[in-house]
Amino acid sequence: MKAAFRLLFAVGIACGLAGTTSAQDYPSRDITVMAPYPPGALTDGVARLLQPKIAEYLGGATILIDNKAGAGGAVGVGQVARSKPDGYTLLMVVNAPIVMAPSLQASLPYDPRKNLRGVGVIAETYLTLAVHADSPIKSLDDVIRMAKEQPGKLTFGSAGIGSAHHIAGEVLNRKAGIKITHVPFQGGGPAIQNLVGKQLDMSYGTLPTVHAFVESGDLRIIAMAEPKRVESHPDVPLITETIPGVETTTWLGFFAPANTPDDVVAKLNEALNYALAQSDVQEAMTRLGLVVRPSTPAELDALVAKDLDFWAEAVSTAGIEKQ
Amino acid sequence: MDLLTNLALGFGVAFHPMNLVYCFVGVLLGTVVGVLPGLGPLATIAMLLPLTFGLEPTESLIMLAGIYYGSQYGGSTTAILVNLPGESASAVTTIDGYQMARKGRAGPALAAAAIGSFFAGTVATVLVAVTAKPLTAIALTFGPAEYFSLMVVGLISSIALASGSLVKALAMICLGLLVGLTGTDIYTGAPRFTYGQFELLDGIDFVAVAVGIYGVGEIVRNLESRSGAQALIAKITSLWPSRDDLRRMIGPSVRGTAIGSMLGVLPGGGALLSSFVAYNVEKKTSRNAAEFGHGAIEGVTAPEAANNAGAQTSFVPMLALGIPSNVVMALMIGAMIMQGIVPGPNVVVNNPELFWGLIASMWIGNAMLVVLNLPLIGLWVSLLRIPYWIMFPAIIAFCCIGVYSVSNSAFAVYTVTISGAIGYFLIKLDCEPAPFVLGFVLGPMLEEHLRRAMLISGGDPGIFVTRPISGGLLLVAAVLLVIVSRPTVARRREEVFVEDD
Repeated sequence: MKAAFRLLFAVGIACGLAGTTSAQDYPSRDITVMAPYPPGALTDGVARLLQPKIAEYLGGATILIDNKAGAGGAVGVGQVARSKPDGYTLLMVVNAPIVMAPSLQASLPYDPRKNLRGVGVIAETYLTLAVHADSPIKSLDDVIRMAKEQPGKLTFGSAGIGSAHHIAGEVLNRKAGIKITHVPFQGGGPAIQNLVGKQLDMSYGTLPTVHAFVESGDLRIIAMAEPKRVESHPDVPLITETIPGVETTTWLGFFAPANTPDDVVAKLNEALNYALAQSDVQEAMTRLGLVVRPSTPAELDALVAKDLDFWAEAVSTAGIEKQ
Repeated sequence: MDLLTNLALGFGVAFHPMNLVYCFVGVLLGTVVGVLPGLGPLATIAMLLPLTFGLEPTESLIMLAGIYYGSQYGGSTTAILVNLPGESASAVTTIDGYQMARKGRAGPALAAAAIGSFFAGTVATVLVAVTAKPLTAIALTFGPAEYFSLMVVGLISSIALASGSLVKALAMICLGLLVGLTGTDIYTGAPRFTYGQFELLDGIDFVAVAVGIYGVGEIVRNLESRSGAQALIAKITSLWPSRDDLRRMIGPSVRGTAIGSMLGVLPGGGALLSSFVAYNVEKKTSRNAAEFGHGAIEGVTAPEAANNAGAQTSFVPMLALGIPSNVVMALMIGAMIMQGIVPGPNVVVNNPELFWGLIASMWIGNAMLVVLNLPLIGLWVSLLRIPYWIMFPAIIAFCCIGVYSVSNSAFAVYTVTISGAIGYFLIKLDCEPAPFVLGFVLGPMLEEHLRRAMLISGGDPGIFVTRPISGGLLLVAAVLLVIVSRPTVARRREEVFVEDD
């Protein structure tokens, strides 16, 4: 029944109930927020967590979450990029399809610089390099030494081709002059599962996927692939402290189509930051392994511009070909 | 006895009135979405997820779990009545279930599915309680090499799935493998068979293909002739299984449960693979082998028992490791996190009431399903009396809504349409869809694990025979290959084929 209902809604919106938009009477109808991954994915969870708080700030507006998955998020992002810039079609998404995909995919159905504008940063998370608790590898120095002794023999797991995990691993290979074999999985969870089952020598993994296994004594984090030491793990060294330049950033952002009016974007930014300031939202985010990072729209635009250049260089250093 | 104290704790939690209510709501919803073709537990759980945030963690997980195994029950109903797998795991139930319905034995077929599922559910509940820890350890020893060898066993045994020509069965498996390769190559990122379509980058949606090939194809075939259309309205002889039927259900229930319980634990294949394997094993071991494909009650009981057992044991890696064995479990993990429970090895220790309460509720939920479904058999069967000019358009409409809701994309509806056309031609060419579907499902997994194992071993194929579990599975595959190609079996296949004409 609900599916049928949502279908009717989608048709209704597609038929165009649009009017003129200004911040005074915005929102005057239902807002659709695209979370371009399957239900249950991190992005979907965050969108559904923020949905009631943002709706509350916008005077009880109805917000629909649209999960249009496909092509690593590109299908859903493309749909928002082509939408009418009236503030009624918005996007919540992780950084990958926005700042990484342009360096990895030859034909994207959008240009993040031209078709989207930032509403605000939502949160960030951290990428770790982990080994099994029984592993002889205790530190990054051990990794480099053993990889030099047996080139190509060690393996590292990643969340897939073109993931931050993969790029970090290949950049480490190039910059340290070593060869660790990349073993891609379909998502970060299966990679960590294979690390727990000792099928891999090491694996990259986001802090939330790795953390429970560290607590249970199955895994050990040897380093973080981050530019700054992580507040919750101040003792874990960074890869970049040993091999400069091996770093990644992972964040979630809230976007609107490029020509959405400034006052509407400003109102949405207020609503987002109001939601992020709620203590129950912050607690839930912490449980998801995310750290809340409120910002202005301009700060997100600047972050996107900086990261587009950063990933373009990292992908070329890693020697990954565009597809 | 630790186990008894734990189970007592679990039943104490599960029998709490509110938990009973949510358990009932879950299985009822599950049955309904299982019956609606294409609309699976995934879409339902996803839509209900936000509503569960206000509930207690145990209440919400009990309800979500109920939807999942309830849908396994419901999915078999349409599979039997109208040849439409309401849920992907019931695809194999269509083979004999639908034939039984055409012979007017829809009632016994539905009863066999319900009773087989209940038996499996009961055993699997106990099994999950007793063996959660060791089963988890087994699942972890399965690396890429073991998965590859398991897929080989699955593919070879799928040859036995076809009752018609061997050459056609092989051709269908190969076609399934090729179509399954559509999408992004996960080792290079290169798009394959996508022809520039973004929607194809993630591959072709299984549910859409299954609904199209089985459902739409069958409907079109039925419309060809008035008499064909009336095949659906075959006269119903009896609603309940005879004493002989019941006796024939015992063995398949036990074997199906054993297979489903083991395969359900493994991430990836899970319930779907277990129903295929259970069907094949039954076909090989049954004294009524010749009846398979023509309405054998064993061919309904075994896969139904297996997919229900598999659905329950797939909770083991989720609860004990925080690792999802399929997409529905990934959603359950999302629900746990939102409730403030960190999924992982510590759930049993930190949240014993949740862990044991959920397990106990599965048994209660299974009992509710039997009570709910057995009286409904009469109602479901009477649906067959609906004139086809109302029934067929309604089914197609539900199929389209169902597949649309999976990814909110019209592309899935096109997939159903094209698959339907292909399905119709396959029927006309006397090619059975089951080997195609198995090839479609196993092909990508076979490739993924083969290449991953080779990456890890540094290109040494020895990894498949030197690892004991993998080597053992390959041995089983070799033995199976010999059995399948033995002249006597081949002759029996011929006989079946001739009978068919």
